[in-house]
This record gives sequence, C-alpha cells and structure tokens, in this order.
Amino acid sequence: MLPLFAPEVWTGFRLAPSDIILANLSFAEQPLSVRTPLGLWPFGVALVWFGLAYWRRDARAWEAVLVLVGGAAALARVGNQWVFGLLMLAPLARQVGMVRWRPWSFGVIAAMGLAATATTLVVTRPPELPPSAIQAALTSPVTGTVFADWRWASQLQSKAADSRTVLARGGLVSEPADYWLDYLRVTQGHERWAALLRDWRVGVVVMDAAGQDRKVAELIKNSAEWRVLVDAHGTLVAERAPG
Amino acid sequence: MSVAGSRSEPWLTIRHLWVVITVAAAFIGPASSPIGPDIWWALLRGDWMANHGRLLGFDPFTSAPHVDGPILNVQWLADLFFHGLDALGGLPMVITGTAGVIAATYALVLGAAVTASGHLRLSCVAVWIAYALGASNLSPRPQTLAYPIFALFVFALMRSEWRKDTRLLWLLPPATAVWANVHGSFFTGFLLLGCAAAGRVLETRSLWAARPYAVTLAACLAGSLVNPYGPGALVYIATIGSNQVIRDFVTEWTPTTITSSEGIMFFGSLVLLAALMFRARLRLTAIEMILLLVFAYLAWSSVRAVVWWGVLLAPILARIAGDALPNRQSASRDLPLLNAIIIAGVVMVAVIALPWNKASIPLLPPDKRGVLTDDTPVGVAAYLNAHDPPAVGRMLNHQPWGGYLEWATWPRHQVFLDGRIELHPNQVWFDYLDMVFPSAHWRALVAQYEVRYMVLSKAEDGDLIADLRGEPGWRLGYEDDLATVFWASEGP
Repeated sequence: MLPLFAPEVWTGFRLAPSDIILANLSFAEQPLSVRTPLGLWPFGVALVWFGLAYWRRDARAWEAVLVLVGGAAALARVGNQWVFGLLMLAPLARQVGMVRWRPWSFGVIAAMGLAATATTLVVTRPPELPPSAIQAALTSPVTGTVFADWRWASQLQSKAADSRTVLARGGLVSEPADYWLDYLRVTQGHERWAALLRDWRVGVVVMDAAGQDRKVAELIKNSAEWRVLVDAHGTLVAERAPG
Repeated sequence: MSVAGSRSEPWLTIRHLWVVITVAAAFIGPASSPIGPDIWWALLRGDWMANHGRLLGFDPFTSAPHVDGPILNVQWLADLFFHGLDALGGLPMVITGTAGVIAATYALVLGAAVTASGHLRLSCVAVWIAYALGASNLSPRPQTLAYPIFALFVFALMRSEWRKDTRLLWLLPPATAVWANVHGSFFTGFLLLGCAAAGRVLETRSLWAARPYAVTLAACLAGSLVNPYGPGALVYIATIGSNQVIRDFVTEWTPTTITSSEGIMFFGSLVLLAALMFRARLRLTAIEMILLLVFAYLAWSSVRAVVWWGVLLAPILARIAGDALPNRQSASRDLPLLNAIIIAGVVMVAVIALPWNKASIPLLPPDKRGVLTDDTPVGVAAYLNAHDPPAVGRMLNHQPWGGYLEWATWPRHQVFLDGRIELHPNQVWFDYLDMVFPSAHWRALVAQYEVRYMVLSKAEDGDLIADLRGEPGWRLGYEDDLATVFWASEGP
C-alpha cells in the first residue's frame, strides 16, 4: 500500500473531488487514469484482491464495501489514493492471509512495493527551490506581494515570516477558483499576464522556468517591466523594475 | 430457457418482442440524434472522390500547414459510403443509414450473447448495457461503420467457442479487408483473435488447439493489406495512435475517468461484472478472462474504446448472468395479437424518430428536432457564403467548427483546421492554441499564419473576442448568440 501514500507526502493528505482547474496544476487533483504516474498500481492492488477472492470464491460483504468505497475515492481524485490504501488494508490482508505463500514470494512483493514507493516519491517530488532564489526573493527592496509557483509558495512564506505576503501560501485550497484560473493564465503566458500581476500588486515573482512556468518565465525575461534577479537551476526570480 | 422455437409456439411470441424492442432501441437512439462533428470531412472527401473518380491524396479543405509526405486516406470506403447516403437523401439519410448500421451491430451482439448464454432476455439486457456503454460514440462517422464488423468478430468467436461452429471465422478475413478501408480500428479484430488464441493455448496447454484462431488471425492480417496503400496504411494508423496532440487534447482519446458519463458507465460495468462473477457458479474461461483484461485496459486508456468494451462484454455478461441469476420461466401465455400491436407500436416509434419526421413532434424540445446540434454555427456559414474571403490570407476558425464550416462553405472558404489532427504538425496545433488562448504572442502568430479573418466561438474564445473588439486593424463583421466573425481591415 505504500506507493498509494507516497504522492501525498509532498502535497498533504486531503480527501476531495477532482477539480478541473487545479487538475492543470497538479496530477494529484486529476481523476485517476492510466496516465497517472503509477496509475496502474491501485488498479493492480484491486485486481490482486479480486483475483484471490474469485479464485477462492470467498469474499465478505464488508470487503466488497471497503473496496468499492476506496476505489470510488481513488478514481475521483488521484490525491485520494491514500484513502483507498487505508480501506484496502483489511480486505487485502484477509485474502493474502488465506494463501500459502512460498517464503521468497514475500520478499519479491515487498521489494516491488518498495521500488514502486521510491519511484512514486521521485516522480512526484516537486522541484527544489534553490536557496539563492529564496534569498533574492526575500531581500528584494521592491514592495508588493510575491507571486511564486504554487509548490513553493508556502515554503517562501515560512521563510519570509511577516515581512512579505506570498500569494497562495496556503496551497491549492487557500485561494478561490478565480484566482487559480488567473494563475493558469499567467503561467501559460496569457496576453494579460502582466496586467494580472499588476492587479495583484506583485512586486516579486519566483517561477519554475524549466517546468510548469516556462512560458511566463520567457515573457518576464524579455519584459522591460521586470528585472531578473536569479536565472539559474531552472528557477527565475524577478522584481518589478523601477518606474 | 431455450432459444430455439418449437412447432407449437404462437406466431409472435414474447421472445420476438424482446428482439424487436432491443434492435429497434439501437436504431431509434441514433436515428433521433443530431449529427455529430466528425462526419463533415468524410462527406466532402466522398463527394470529391465521386466527382474526380480517384482517391484523394491531399487535403484541399484546410489551410494550415500540413505534415510532410503523402496524406493517406485510409477511410476512403467509409467516405464513399457516407457520400452515397448523402446523395440519396441528404443528412437525414446519413443519420438513418448510420442508425441502420448501429442496429445491425447490436443485432449481431445479441446473436453473440444468445449464442454464449442461451438466455434471450438476459442477452437483451446485456445488449442494452452494451448500447449504453457506447451511446456517446454512435454518431455518423467512419468509426461507426467498423462496429458491425467488430460485432461479427465477437459473434464468430462465440459461435466457435460455445457451438463449436468455426464456419463464421471464414468470414473474418474478407471482413477485415473491408474494415481496413473503412477505419483504422481494425487492429481490435487482431487483438480479439490474438486473445482467443492465447486463451486457447492456456486452457489446453497445446499450441495446436489455437490453430483456428491463429490461422484466422494470419488471414486477417493478410486481409488488412488489401487497401490502396498496402502496409503503409498500418504504419500510418500506428502514427496516429501515438500522436501527442491527439492523445492529450482530443477528448475521446484521453483516458476514461470517472468524471465523464462514459467513465461512470465503464466503471459501473466493471462492478456489475465482478458481482456477477462472484455470484455465478461457472468460471470464466481463459479466453474470456484475457479478453476482459485486454479490452478493459483499452477502454480505460481512451474514451473512444469504451464502445468496443461494451460489444465484447455483452455475451460474457449474458453467460455469467444466466448462471448467477434465477431462471424464471414466464408462466404467462403468449398473446400473439397483443405482441403484434406492441411490435407495430415500436416500429411506429422508429418511423416517427426518423430525421424527416421528428421535426413535427410537438413533444420534442426545439433543440432536438433538427439534424444539427444547437452549437452548429449555421448562421456563420450562411454569412460566409454571402461574403468572399480576402484575396490573400487565411481564416482562423474555432477548431471544433472546422468540419461543419468546410462542409458548408468550401470551396469558397477554406478553414484553418478541422478535427483531423494528424494532418498538421504538432507545432501548428500549439500555435493555434496560443492564438485562441490568447497568449502574449497571438498577434505575431496571426501575422505569421497570415490570418485575415477569424470565426470564433463566444463560449470558448471569449478572451480573444474581447481583444479583437478593441484591436486596431480588426472589425466585427458578424455576430450572433454563438459566434463572431472578425475581418482584418482590408476584408469585406
């Protein structure tokens, strides 16, 4: 079950339906599909339970209920997989417990589980925010809010304490849908990106220039309205130019 | 319950009623539905080929830059079929002909289900489930013509498995030859036979036992080469399946999730299947298990594959349902006259549902009475047909409308893009998205592609429309509830 808990290590454990806007920002907000990183793992877990139960023709009603409820939660949103993992523990343990396993088979299964967990952790890990970028963002003399990639916002706010306000510092649930729609517009390089940043009184931006924010990062680099402070390691920090 | 009739049976039994209602329902649904967005270029290509007497080897209908190399029209036979229907009776005939194809499909599925289960009523219910699974994917277009062929494959497999009658397998290679010229989905036939062969080997531990399926598969592979492009058609189809834009941006190619109606139906069918498997005493065969696993994965991989899953699922579902559910024999006596009246009523409903008639049904809401959907830009097409395009430059159009607009306005106007993603390089699609988004580069892209007029959707291109309303050098030429048309200053 460990791989089912792994993605939430980075984003926090939350039970919610999928959101069409947030799904563009985080795969954890998408409904479960074959293209989800390790998306076949929960399907495989359910299939193992079903295969063992069908083979022995022995499944209790409570098992089916737990599998159905957990499966529905996971299908509704990738970030709910931990619920599926929790609910599957008892049914799977019961089915596995009834099988006579060869001693080595447990080792193989455990190794597969650990490998899948490690892979999930690596694949879903957000990019690291370099210390030089934090330093530049927080020491900029320009006033105004900080607009950061949503994965870095809370980290930046904790470093800034009360000296600066970082937008979306509370994560994906901290802002209304309209904000995230405009956030997407900005990061995707919408024609009104600069106006939106002005509307939010943004003084400093911290963008993932090699990943999700590369379109707006290019625009910022070429804009007279912004002065680049850091452009290294896939991170762009810029402050509003004087005047 | 035995399916075979007996000499003492009345001339119209309740079983006839079940069959008629099931097949008629499969006809009435598509016959009463408006036409979908993926038929227009098929009609145009068919018309072009009929007029020129040769295959269409290029794309005259869209103006965006095309991919390098020849354009293979592997659906040429479907194009001609739909053109034939159009020539016979216009769009209503296209809809009616497609409904007939779908009714034939589910009649074959019913035959397969009865063959596998021996239960007519359960088979009918299984066919309804199959129909519901595919209901969103039954509009007139080339893929729809492939459904009865796939259903024939399933029927032949069921005859072979449960009646030990392999004669229908002989039909599959010539059917594949037709399929390969109608739509690129013929690989699902290979998949079906491959699964059957693998399952037979697993069950019998003998390669020899898989011979009927392996030989049929080899003959079908050869049959698929009977097309104007030979093996090139297979390569072409493989490239379409791996096209990044198709996989990421075309709704029906995206993975099936529980957030869509197709996804709810699909996952619901899995739960139903699992429940019946537990309840039934019989065990699924290796062939059935492999088929279910492979086609379930296919259906989960893309929304457009859910329809194949339904066709395959029906006979298996009927078989295990027949074992899992109590077999209640009907104690009531057949009343042939009543049955005849009900059948006449069903036929009458089918006739009323035809596109020619449904406009006069007062009970139908206005948006269901026509052959076109509500969001078809009819007004824009009429406007464009009254105005010439600029001497130079392109139209930029809301892409989902491309098919209808080219059907309605070509050759006077040429749309930028339609639904044929594979015709244009990925960069063209990314640029299109940047223009309608609109990104900060939209003006540069409009200049780069020499766009001189734009047909935009108010619902989906609102930001660009707002920009154009105040943009120097652009003026509004047409506007209705759905759409706007903007012209560059030098336009009409």
